[in-house]
Parts: sequence; structure tokens; C-alpha cells
Amino acid sequence: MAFGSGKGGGLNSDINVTPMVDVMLVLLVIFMVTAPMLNTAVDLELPPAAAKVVELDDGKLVLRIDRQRQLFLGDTKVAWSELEQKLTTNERLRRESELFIEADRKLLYEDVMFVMALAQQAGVAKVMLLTGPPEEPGAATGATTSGPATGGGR
Amino acid sequence: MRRVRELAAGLALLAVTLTAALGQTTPAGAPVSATPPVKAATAATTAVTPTAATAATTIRGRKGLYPIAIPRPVGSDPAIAALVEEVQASDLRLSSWFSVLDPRSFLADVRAEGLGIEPQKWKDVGAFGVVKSRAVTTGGQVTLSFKLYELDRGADPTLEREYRGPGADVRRLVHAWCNDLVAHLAGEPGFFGSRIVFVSKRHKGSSVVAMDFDGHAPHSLTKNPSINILPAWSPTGAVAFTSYMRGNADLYVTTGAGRPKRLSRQPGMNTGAAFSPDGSRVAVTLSRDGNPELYLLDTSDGSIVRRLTDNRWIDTSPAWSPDGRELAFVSNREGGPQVFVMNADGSGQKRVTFGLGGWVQTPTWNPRAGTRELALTLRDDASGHFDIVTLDLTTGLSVRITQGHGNNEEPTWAPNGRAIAFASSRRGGSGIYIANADGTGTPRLVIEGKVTSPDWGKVP
Repeated sequence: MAFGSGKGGGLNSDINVTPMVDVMLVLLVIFMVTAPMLNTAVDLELPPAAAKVVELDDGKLVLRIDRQRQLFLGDTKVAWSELEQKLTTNERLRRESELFIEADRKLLYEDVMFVMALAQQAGVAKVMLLTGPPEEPGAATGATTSGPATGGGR
Repeated sequence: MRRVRELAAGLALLAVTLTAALGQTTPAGAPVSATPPVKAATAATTAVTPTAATAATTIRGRKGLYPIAIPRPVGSDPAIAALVEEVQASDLRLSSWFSVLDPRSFLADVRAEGLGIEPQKWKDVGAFGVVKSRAVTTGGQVTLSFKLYELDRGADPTLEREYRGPGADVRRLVHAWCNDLVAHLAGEPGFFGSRIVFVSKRHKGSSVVAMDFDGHAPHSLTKNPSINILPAWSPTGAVAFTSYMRGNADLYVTTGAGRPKRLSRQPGMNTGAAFSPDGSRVAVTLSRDGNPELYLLDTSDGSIVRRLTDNRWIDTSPAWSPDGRELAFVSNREGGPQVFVMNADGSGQKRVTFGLGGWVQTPTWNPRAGTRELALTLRDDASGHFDIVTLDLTTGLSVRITQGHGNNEEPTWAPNGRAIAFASSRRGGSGIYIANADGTGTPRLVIEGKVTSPDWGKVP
């Protein structure tokens, strides 16, 4: 065994990878954003709020919940019972870690929370809650294409 | 405005609560305990990044795996449709270039789409490419039609192919498609449809077995109850192996049909056959003089053409370079077993393994033209286990293919040099595994059992 370890370096086998225990705490970061209304068939009205304006191109994955509690991932209708599977197996969510949620203003708090919990299980680190423009006193609510670029939060 | 702030604060609190509640479980989408491949440097280097020769080429300039969706083919025969889907997914996962999307994530109505696609629905599940296909059976003949869509290249297919053959040939037809798909996207050949020979241990003795590269259709090439070891493909698809069927460790060649032909019966052992790339010579280890030495035999009659080594040490395990001009082999002339390289006439013998520990064995040469790269088995001095490394002879860089998963031995390269098969006795299943040759990803088990000595043949 005269040539046991070559020039003294040898394999760098000192690195012990066994106790690589994953203790990272993944925080779900939530933003509120205002987006121009897309011409989607989904019938919903966003809650008004002052939030940052973003452009929603087809590069963003949006989960929509309409007034009738129907779910749409992208523009595809998805049953509530299969949402968990659709989210946890979605390669794009895994890659981008970002999901936009567009939920009707009259929905129950628990419905939106349910969706957000599933999103986090699917590995989404950043949930973007879409809002409509802030309400003018006395004016009718409704989503238009602009809103003040203030606010946002976590 | 104040209400909004409260809502935001509430949501943040909710997030923390959710995190705490879910803290115990890993997010379902995240890879669990996938040990990253650890790359080991030789003594001469400190950090190792894959060299141009070993790094996987990219598809369409994209680094990392290319996410591809393989929806089930449309067609009347559900068994064939399922087989076409399964073989495609298995091939592309083994290829080292693709990640195959989970069909449960699909949003499109695959049947309603037919051979077309709604691009947005596939973008929404993260696909870059989608393969739509149809299987039609008429009178025992199967016709498979495939269309590849690349979502960043418009709504028309970028590759369309049709394959026809007997119903029993569906796997072969799908392998042919996957080779065409890889050639189209990656610009180099795939290895689908190739075969691997290996040794399967029995209660007493061992058999030489051939199978498809993906573990399908294993069948024994030897019928005798004796010990049969060290199989090797010839360039024309015959298999040489050493057998004790007549008492001595003689060298035989079989085409799979009829009785094996005895090629070399020198006194002592006739082992470790390796065919030259042109098929005219077989490099072997013969111990006719009492001490294992390397020889070249004539493939046609087994006569000795040349003696390659002549010393009082052990010389064994010859392996040809793809151009047929060099041989790698193992010798203990400098102490423990180390790998040496020489010219095919026996001249210029020099050691090439340094700093890989005191025990290095079983070299095989990357068959990819233009590379000078070996795959080796070494003994990890820290764990005492055997592991696979690659060694680039031009740069001296080595890349660790396995680490920390039991014993891993006897690497053999895929015909395109992009994957390495090896025998492993890891927890989770002993058998033959296939790993990416650049050290990325997790090796995949293709056949389970007490198996050794895999040798990977060409694509027919």
C-alpha cells in the first residue's frame, strides 16, 4: 500500500454529509398586488385595496376563485377536491415558488385560507393576493386597470 | 386603509401559524433527502467543476433538466397506450437531459386535444416541451404517431414522426422515437434500445444474462450450471465471457443462439475479455505463465497475437479507448491496484490514477469520440466502501458518481457516454443502477438482484 494516498490530498472524504438535517424554516411571504383585469371568463370581483400594481402576463400562474366558489388554475377549472394534487405536482410552482391568487371579495375567509395553506404545502414561498383599486368614498366598486402604487405588506 | 393594514398583519400572522403547523412536514413538492452528488478532487486540484467533456449538453441553451410532458397517447388500445407512455417516460428520465412532469399535474383535457395542444395549459404546469401521440392497431400492426411541441417555439409541432411494426415491438418503436427526440433536442444520439449484459449469481455458480438497458426482458445466455463471469460485448453484438463449464477458466463467445464457442483455452485463467473497437482483437488476461499478464488475441481463432505486459506483478482488466489506440488496465506493480494506460502495442505504460486512494480497479473508457475519460471503481478510504468515479485523462479531474450508498462497482458507459451503469449493493435494493455521467441526479435502479459485471452494448 505504498501508494495509499498519492500526494497527500486524497479524496476529500472528510466532509461528512450524513447529518445534513434540513431544519430550514420556510416562511410564506404574502404580497398584495393590483393587476390590470385580464380578459378571462372567470366572473369575480376583487376586494379593493391600495397595493402595488403589477403586470400580469401569461408568465404568471394565477389561481382564481370566482363568486360561485369555482376554482380555476390558470384558465382551467379545477375541483376543490383535486386542488391539492394539482398544486403539489405542479412543476412550475416548484420552479417559480410564486402563486397569484385572485379571489372574489365576497368569498369566505376560510376558502382563501384553505387555498393558501395548500399553496404553501406545494412549496410556494410567495403568495401574491390580487386586489382591486382602492374604494373611492361613495363610488361604485369594480376592478379597473389602475390603482395607486402604494402599500403592499407581509 | 387601516383595515387593509390589519388584513395584511393578519395574513402575516396566518403565514407564521401555517409555517409552524406544517413545520414538521417537508413540502410535498420539495426533494426529500436527495444527497447531492459530492465531487471529489484529485490531489492536484482543489475544486472540481465538470469539464466540457463531461458536462451534459444543454437543450435549447437551457441549463439544467428540460421539463417535458408526456401525456398518454390517444388510441383505442389502453394497454398499448399505457406502454407507450411508460417507455417514453422511463427513457427520458434515464437520458440525463429531461425531467418528466407528473401527469397528475396536467390541466389540459388530453383526449379532447387529440394530437394538438392548448399551449397555455401546458405552460401553466411548467412544461417546456409536450409530446402528443397516437397509437393505432390494425391486424397485429401498431402505428405510433408522435408530435413534439416546444412551447417557446409557437403552437406548431417542431418534430413529427411515425413508426410502424408488429404489436410485440412497441418498446422498440418507442425507443426509436426517443432516440429521434434526443437527436432533435440535444443534437446527439440517445442510448435507447441498447442492451446490457451482466452476471447473475445463483445458489451455486452464476449465469451471464442480457437485458434491455432499462431492465426489460432479461434472459440468460448461458445454460450450464457452472460459474460464468465477466461478459463483454463484441462490436457486432456477440458476447464473450469466461466459464468454468469444462473445469478450466476458459474464454467463450456466444451469439445467444446455439452452443458458445470456446475462443481461448490457455492453461490457467482466460479472463477479462475486451474487444477492440474494430472487433479484430480481444484483449485478455492469461495466467499461462503462472502470473496474470495481458495479451491480444485474434478474434477469429483465439491465437495469441501479442503479449502486452511482462513482469512479476498482476496485470488485468484491460479496456480499450474508443479509437482503439490505447488500453487502460489494472496493475499492482506500484503497490496496491492502480490504473495504468498503454498503447495498443504494449508500449508507453504509465500510471494514471493518483490521489484516488490505495485501491482503484475496473477501468472502462468513455466511448464518446474526442474524450479521454475513464470510469473507475475505488475504495473510499474513509468508509471502506467501493464507489464509482470518472477521471478525465486530459485534465486529471475526477468526478464522484456515487458516495455514501453502500458498495458501487464495475462501471460501464452508455454508448453515447452520457450515463454510467454499475452494480450496487446499496440499501433500497441491490442491482444494476444507471447514473448520469456528470454526477448529477440520483441513480435509478433498472434491475434488482445479486448481479455484477455489467457491460453496456451499442444501440442496434
